[in-house]
Amino acid sequence: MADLGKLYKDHTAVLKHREWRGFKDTMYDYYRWLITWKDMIKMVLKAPISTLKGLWKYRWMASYLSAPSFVDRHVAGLRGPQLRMAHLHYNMIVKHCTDLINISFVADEKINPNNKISKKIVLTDEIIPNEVFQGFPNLKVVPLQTIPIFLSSMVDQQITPPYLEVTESFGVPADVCPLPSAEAGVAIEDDYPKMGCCMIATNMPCDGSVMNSTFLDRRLQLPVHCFNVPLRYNGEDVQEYAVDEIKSLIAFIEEQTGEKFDWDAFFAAMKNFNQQTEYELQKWDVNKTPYPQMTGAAFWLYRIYYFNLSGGVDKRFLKVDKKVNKIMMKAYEKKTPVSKEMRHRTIVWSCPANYYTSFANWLENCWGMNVVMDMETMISYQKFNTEDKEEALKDLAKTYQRSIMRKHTKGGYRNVVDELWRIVEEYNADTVIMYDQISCKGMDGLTGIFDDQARERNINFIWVKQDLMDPRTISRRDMREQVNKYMQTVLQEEPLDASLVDFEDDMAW
Amino acid sequence: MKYFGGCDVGSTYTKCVILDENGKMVANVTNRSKINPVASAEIALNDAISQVDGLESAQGLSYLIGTGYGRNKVPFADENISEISCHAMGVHVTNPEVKAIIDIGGQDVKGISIDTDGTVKNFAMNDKCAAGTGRFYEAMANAFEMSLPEFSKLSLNAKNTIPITAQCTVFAESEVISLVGEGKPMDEIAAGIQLAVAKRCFVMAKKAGATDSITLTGGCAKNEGLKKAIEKVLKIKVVELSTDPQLMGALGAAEYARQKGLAKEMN
Amino acid sequence: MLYIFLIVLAVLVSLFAVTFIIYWFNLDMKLVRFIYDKLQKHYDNMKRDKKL
Repeated sequence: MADLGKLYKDHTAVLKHREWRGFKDTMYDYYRWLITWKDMIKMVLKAPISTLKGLWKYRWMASYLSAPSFVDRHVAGLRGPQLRMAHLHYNMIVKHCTDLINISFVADEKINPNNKISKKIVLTDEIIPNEVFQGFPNLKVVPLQTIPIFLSSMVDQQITPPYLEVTESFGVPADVCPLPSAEAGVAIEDDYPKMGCCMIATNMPCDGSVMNSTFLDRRLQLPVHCFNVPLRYNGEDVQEYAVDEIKSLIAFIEEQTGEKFDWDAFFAAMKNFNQQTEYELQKWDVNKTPYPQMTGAAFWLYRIYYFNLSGGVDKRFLKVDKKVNKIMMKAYEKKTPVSKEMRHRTIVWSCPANYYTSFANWLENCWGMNVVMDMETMISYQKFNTEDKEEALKDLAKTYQRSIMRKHTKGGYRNVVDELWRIVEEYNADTVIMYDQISCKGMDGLTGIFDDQARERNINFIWVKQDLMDPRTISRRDMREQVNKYMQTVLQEEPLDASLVDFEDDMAW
Repeated sequence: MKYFGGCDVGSTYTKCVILDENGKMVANVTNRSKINPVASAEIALNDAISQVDGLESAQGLSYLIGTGYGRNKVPFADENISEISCHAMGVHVTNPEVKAIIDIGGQDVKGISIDTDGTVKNFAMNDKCAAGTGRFYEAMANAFEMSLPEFSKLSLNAKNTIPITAQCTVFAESEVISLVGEGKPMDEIAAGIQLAVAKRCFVMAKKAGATDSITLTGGCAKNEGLKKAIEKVLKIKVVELSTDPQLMGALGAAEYARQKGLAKEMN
Repeated sequence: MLYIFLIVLAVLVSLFAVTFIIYWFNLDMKLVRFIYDKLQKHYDNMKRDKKL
């Protein structure tokens, strides 16, 4: 293997030099690196003064300077079609992200007072997927927390502690979930761009979001609508309520903005979204076979990104999906190995740590554990009716009930326990990486059940404790050590790349 | 005669065991760990070597395996193996009937289930919190102004158990001091402490899939009150080991050294 | 014509060489790390309207 661990300079994990992947793949990686920088420079050139002001003003913006490093660690070890597919996905994420950053700064009343764009913006909680908003093509919808804290914490693990500390300094306990705590911290520090005519809060993914909405509201001082999504989503008795909630949401936006919901625009976007869902399902089908083609972080990161943020209207996502699908099917037909050595077909379950999104890459490179499916990828794959309004609303309601950090963690243990074993069987997996987010009480009651049932099924069941967005409690190194202990002690395996077993990266992005 | 060494650098104690080629223990040492784990290992090893006639230095050992808490490794060993594996092997060679271990060390608690050949089937560990570990007991014995051996026997004659509600070592110590100050019977408070630790051990044991034929290892295995509380919570008899339970990690490391050393020579 | 072509080629080759050196030795991220560390000090010292 490539001795990838030896590439790190020191505990900042900045690479001494980039990875040699053979001439062809290295040249491709170099080309993609140029594209990443091109997109970043383009973002600056669109609004240079606003962007520089934003960088000077907002701590989280400095994290995005390390975007090429983010891409590097998420394509570490990849070759051939896997490298190409991953790059296409990450590049699309970078492109779309630069658009979001650009609009945030241009509309920011702190940077550009009296700008005309701010009042055309509807702010939403980051967890609310974009689909419903495609019925308002004249409005810009910006997920409030996505750029300042959610995505930035994936790009840079160091970004959350300052915000957590400020929340804790106001008396919020340190053992609450870091997600709402960090979001509240950004509000307390006045580090959200000031924009928008109204805000859509939500009860997704959990009560933490409801509680932190009150802190956000104190800072935003905007009309707020709380969009509630039922938890017991398998029940038919809640669907009417779910649809009513969507109708209330639409009515609120119409009232606040003066815009009418445009069903033609919505249906057109959903047709695109349905096509994206088709391409997604093909990835899943291929991964069920002995020749999976997309394992690792690109699989789930791109999935949650476009599910929440593309909404079907940005056709660049569909173009990427078509290209990736072509590469994938060609590689599948040739029976191309997905990595140098796939020892364990692995399912990753429960919510991943934002501060270690490339964990799946490490599993693959160090121990040959290829993640063929994971919980966050398996969010709603509901296709939308694009002709009947009431049916479309029902489909929308079902989609929202099955969104990120929701579908498997709510609605009863069948959604998280039975569903896991169904996936393990369907994907012919022999190993489960089970995240244990220590600040979340949501699945605490099920740990014994998981252990017992894994034993009955003879599945390698590896608990990996983590703290979602706080790398100080359980570091990346601690996460790796939990897997190392299991692999060395129970399975008694030698690593594929010994240089990756133990290294320091506590100061890394 | 060939000799094989195992060195276990723990957070609180460093242990060293030397076996001969027939698996007989010819030396064992238990020292308080120094802040420098390498120095701790060197001292313990030299002390053990001095107990063996015919063994002059570490070079005389055919194979040496190191193990230890966290990243404490023995750099001059031929190999380092995880402490979990070593504990399992140590217990297996002492009593092959035992299928599960609760290991309570200075700073962590582990539940380990053992396979028929002494390897590890599964394990669970808590190394993020000092509650229920050797550190916890040291704090409690200090609060009672007793030595650890005295404290360990205190609960044996308690007629009742006063529950300790605090989960954290620091807060549990405060709670214990308050209870002592209120004049509550010391043996009943001690019983409450033992029960609290036993319940944590139960969770570790269950997570590791340990169901029967269980033993205790680590320094806290010598705590008689804890053993009785664990038997009560688990509802099974804890198997007493014929060798000092605190030596299991080092013994397992020495046994691995013996197996690997002999195999190397055959090749 | 040939002269212009050679100049363009020389520029392109130079650009490729420079960018590839930056890419290979990760000079971009090493520079960003330097800037990032400096910016952290600035953010820590900023006056803020802290309120809950």
